[in-house]
Amino acid sequence: MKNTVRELRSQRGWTQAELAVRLKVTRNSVNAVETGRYEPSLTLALRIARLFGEPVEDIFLGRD
Amino acid sequence: MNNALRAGPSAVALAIKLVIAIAWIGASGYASWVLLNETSKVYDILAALFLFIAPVAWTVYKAIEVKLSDELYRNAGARGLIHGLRFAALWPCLMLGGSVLSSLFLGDGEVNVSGLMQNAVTYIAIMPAIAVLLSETMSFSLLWSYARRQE
Repeated sequence: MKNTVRELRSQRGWTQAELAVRLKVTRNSVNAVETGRYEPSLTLALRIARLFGEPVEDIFLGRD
Repeated sequence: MNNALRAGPSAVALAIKLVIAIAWIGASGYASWVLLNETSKVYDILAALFLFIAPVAWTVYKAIEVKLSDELYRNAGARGLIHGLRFAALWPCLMLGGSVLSSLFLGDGEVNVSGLMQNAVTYIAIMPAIAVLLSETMSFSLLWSYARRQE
């Protein structure tokens, strides 16, 4: 599933490791989510949305 | 464990687990041999305890590991476990069926039931270790595929 996690992270100037710390997951998890290889659980998706202050459907489904 | 610093699956951890699993296969095979042969009662008890304790110890270890992992590692672990258990469940049937067929068609055409039952005990004894071997390898390969495009 495509998502905008990488763009949102880059906008804030965070590295994958920094985002991982904020989300309390591994850097491997952040990378897997960003590349679309791994679809996060609802809990993690909501945590990501809350951290970036964006609706979860905008991050994981796109605005179109 | 600092999750954020754990960048990818550890090949060293996998190697250690594989060595343990292979040693476990050997020890389980030996324990089944002890139980099937005339040895002392002490050896029988030790063999039975090993067959009992080793899978329980591994289960406890995995439960702790899952508690300490994040969801990606839990997901890969669960998927690896499914594949490992699936093959472990097939394993005795494949070996027994293969032995019978090879005896019938390639051997003397007779089925040695006693030998077959003894082999069955060994196949079943090493099932948990085979499940561990395959599930850990599968989990590692899943994590490796997730980590391939690491920044």
